Amino acid sequence: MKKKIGILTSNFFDPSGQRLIYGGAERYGIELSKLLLELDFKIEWWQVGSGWQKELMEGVMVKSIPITESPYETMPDLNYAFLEKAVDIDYAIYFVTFLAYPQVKEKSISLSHGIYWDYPKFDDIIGGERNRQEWLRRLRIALSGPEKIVSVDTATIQWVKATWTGLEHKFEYIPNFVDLSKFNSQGRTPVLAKKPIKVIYPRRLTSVRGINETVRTAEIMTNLNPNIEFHIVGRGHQDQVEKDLMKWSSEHERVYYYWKPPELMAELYKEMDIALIPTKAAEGTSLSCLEAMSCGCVVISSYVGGLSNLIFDGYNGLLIKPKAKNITKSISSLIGDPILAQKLSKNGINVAKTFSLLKWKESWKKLISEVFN
Amino acid sequence: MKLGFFVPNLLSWSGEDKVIGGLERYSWALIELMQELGWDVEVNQNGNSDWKQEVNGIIIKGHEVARYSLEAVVEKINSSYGRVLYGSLLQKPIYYKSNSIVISHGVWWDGKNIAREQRERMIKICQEAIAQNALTISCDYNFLNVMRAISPEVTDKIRVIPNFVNINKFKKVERDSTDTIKILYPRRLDYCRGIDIFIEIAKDLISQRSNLEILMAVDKNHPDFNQQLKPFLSLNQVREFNPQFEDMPDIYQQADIVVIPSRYSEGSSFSCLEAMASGKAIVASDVGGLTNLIINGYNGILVPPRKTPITRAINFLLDNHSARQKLGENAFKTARSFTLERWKKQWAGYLKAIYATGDG
Repeated sequence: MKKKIGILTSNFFDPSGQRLIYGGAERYGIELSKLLLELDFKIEWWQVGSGWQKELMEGVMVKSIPITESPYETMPDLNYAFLEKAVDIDYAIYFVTFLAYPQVKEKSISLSHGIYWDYPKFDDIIGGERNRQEWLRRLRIALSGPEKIVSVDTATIQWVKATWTGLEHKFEYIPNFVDLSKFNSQGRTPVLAKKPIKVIYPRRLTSVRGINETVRTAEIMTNLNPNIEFHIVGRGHQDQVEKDLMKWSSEHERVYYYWKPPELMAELYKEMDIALIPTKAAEGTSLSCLEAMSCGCVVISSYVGGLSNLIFDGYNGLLIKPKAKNITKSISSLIGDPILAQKLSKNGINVAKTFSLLKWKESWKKLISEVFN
Repeated sequence: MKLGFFVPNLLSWSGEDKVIGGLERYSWALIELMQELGWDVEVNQNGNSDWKQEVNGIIIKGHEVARYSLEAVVEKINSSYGRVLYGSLLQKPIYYKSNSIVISHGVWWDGKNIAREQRERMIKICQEAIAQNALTISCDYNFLNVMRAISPEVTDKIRVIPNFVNINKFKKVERDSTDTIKILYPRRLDYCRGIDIFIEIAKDLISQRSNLEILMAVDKNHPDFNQQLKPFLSLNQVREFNPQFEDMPDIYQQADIVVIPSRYSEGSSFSCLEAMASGKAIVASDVGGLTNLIINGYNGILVPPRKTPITRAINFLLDNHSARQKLGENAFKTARSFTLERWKKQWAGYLKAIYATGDG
């Protein structure tokens, strides 16, 4: 008989069950579901919600549990309810590390999408030193339970090693993936070979992703250079943010704001010369970074989190401190040296092949055969 | 302008011998750069008496007060110079002069033998050092990212300049094809460098395969350890070198595979960069700054510092000539973005920004 895996997440759909949240983690969830089905498991997702059930893909249900409390940035009641309700599962995957607090199914794997607390405001969110200590205590318990923890970058593993030395042995570094059959450089023209020069920001419109630095850069650069275009491509978390950006872009020449579903991004990347990943915090091995690189865009990226696992500064992209001044300087240096830009683009295409979806699947497959047996 | 440069041990405490290590090589390269840029640099360090030496035209002063405390040496230097550059982030709580640069050579407290209290103290020391200095120059992104996860509020002042390799010295030379595959361990005989893991693996490999040779390029700093390793080092398929730095390019060229199995306390290792520039197939641990030099499967293999994964990686390379070629070729190519010239250019920018103006 087929074995069944329960996957616990916080929000695959938004808590009302109406809207599929389609960020990097959710795309990861869909690929993981497909892989587990290929490996002949039955799977079932659980998340926060009023009790609704929905089909994610053929044969894969998402069930919800009416729990919303998250003391100390953990969800112990959700964790507990999952164990109690999903009684027929053989194995569990905790899709976010803290969901493994306080108790896990004996045969379980958890997943870290990167360090998400590396910005000063987090101190305020967590609410002071005592709360921080309690949060860390809980996080440690969450990391102790599962048999293996997949980390999408090395920064998380190294933080654990520098904080709770020894615990890093639970970790398995499986960097994020790019689907080379969709995201590749076939049919693209060399970067910076024709005018106008097109710069894309393919991220959500949030402060930690560097939207404000990007807006500032776009204002400076489009003023300086009549041959440059900026394409800001991504959703905001609130309608107002999207409206504001639309208004802003309509007031500026050669600045465009829109969004596209992931499957249409490849064609867009192929038209772009430069991709900006100016993340300020909370970053793993960004799918956008890998996909833009794979399609031949020259990536100007910050060094935060897993990004320094993907890019060697000056080899397959530029790694910078994410400030408008630095982004502006980097774009100008690429425009001034198209030979360098083309080298970075070419090396990026080659490096991206190392992160193929196929290889990602192999790594997961091996891990699953070790833990779920 | 006069600039005091503090490095704990550029020379031995007596001032008689040059100390050979990564931090010292880093320091010499930086001294050279500061001279080129026209600064009047004086090196200050620990001493067992007060002494003054001149090496390569550089004044080096040893301070006897080091026998009592590191803090006292730093105090003495702080009061003797208008401006000071701190060559390493010191493992003691000290006062740094305002508007200075301190250098981080990577996370060093991530070993299992370091007690929790000690580790917490080290983290606090880092937080304070970063907060006190105008800039902390880190040799890897890992230190920055670890500190970001602990105290993001201070890390705005960290800049990363990855370590360098002199590609005019470390070159790729096609090896004459022989049946014997050579595996090189080019590090100190130190637990933190994973020497014991490597020896266990090497012993197994030798017992299983006759067509391989183990090259040990090791130091003589630990006579007891050398003695203890004698049976291993005298095995038929093991060759020992006690090289000077100048000999290293040639030793890398003799190897097919280079293993860097560091357990902890690792930055952007010179050895790894040199192996890369030499175009070798590298197996490195996923520790510290090595994660910023190797992309697993592209220009080397990155695995946890444990026996099974490292053995698996080495065996894979032993059986795959084309993988060795491909990884080596990409390592060679990526090393080109870690040149000495690039390092100097980045450093020159920060030196000018911080030390070119006023007296603090």
